[in-house]
Amino acid sequence: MDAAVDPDAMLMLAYAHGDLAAFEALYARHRGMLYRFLLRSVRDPHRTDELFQETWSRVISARTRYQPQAKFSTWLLQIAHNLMIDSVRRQRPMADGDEAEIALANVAMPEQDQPDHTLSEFERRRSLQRAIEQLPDEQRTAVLLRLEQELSLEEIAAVTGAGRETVKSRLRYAMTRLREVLSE
Amino acid sequence: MTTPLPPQDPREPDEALPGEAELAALYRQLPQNEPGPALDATVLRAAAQALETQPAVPVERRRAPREPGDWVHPKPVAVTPAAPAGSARKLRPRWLVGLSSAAALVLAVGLAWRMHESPRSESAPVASGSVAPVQAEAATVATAATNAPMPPAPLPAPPKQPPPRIIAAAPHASMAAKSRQAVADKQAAPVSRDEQQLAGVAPRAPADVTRQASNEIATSAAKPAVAEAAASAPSLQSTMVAAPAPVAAAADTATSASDTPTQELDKIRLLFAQGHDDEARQRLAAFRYAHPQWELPPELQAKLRKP
Repeated sequence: MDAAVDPDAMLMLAYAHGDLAAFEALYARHRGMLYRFLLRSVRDPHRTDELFQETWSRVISARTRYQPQAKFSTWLLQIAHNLMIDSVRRQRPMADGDEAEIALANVAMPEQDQPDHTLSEFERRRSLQRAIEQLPDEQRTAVLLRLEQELSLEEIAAVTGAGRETVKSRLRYAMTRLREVLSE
Repeated sequence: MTTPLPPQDPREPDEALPGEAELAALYRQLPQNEPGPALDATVLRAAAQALETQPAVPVERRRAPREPGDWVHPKPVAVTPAAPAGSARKLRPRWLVGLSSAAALVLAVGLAWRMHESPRSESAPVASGSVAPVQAEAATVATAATNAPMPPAPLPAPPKQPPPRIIAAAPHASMAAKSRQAVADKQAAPVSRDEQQLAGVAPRAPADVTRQASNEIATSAAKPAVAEAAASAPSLQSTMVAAPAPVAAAADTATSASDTPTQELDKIRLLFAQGHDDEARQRLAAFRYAHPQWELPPELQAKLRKP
């Protein structure tokens, strides 16, 4: 992607030239989505914090050689994904379902999700969350990148290093499984 | 003025997967987790510190084609932090170039010196093997013939022999020297020392003898009967008379199938002169048996008759 048309890339280039405010803006734009992607992938708050910090450290150290060949968000998620893969290989197993549920629930919910809402909506979200956690790693990553980051098939393929059709197949399997869980 | 086009929607070519819209809507209702303030502060502080420590650590460029996701793990180059005027990157090639040039120069000079020295070292065994003994013998003969009136006129220069091969093995050179020595001794053998003194001829220079022997080797293939040819040439014979006697006479008196009757008689004479009377008589008897029609010299006939 051309750097002139990607505002994130321009911010990154500006930071590479010494503009700290550009980095702060860039960080504010991507901190939430990156954190959620990591948290829902590794399901461990402590490891999520480590990976989140390490991802941004890589971005900071690579600022002088950054070339906007792809979208900044794609590059950022690619770094996070690779770090996550390395982390998963180093320390298995992940947090179990209950621990993950606690971690994911330990955040402020939107106002419409407070207890005055129907129990069915709550149960559906909880079911979706559990179903995502139980997906195979590749399918879960693809679903998170698709639903959370709204990436295209090509971008997911670039992040995960898989082919486009492979990504498409993973998404189909994952979404079929999620729908089955939600319809039960 | 051109206006950059807006970015294309990357999701445009993707068809929506079945049930994706419903799942996306439900997913957006999930808790929106975010990093804590401490984590934010840590990251922002790291970004600020990185700018304070400019220039950043250079990162090694990969030469291989970049794979997807490969460039997110840069390899920091382990460079020295402060490289003064001439950086280490430039100093090392300069140092290596100088060293390699010096090594190549030394190697070339050594090879040239070696090739310059090799002809001398290979010709040395020939000279020491042939000239030195003959020279010593010639000195003894020269002291004996101090009353020689005048040295004979020097022989015309022998025909030029093709120069010896420069590169030859040392054993081969020593063997060639021995063969030259043997031929030279063979030429000088028929004449006794008394005859040399009576002839009143000064001995030839050892170098001439050696040269003559070399010529003899060269012409021996074309002339099997060397002795007859030598006998027919008076000047050559006179010079050969003056040639010093060989030191190793035992080797010259050995029986050889290629010897002519004259050479065999000369060897028998030499045996008598050396005091090997029994062997000489046996050889003489054998010669008489082999050549009954050959007229023996009177002194040999006398020896043959003696018991």
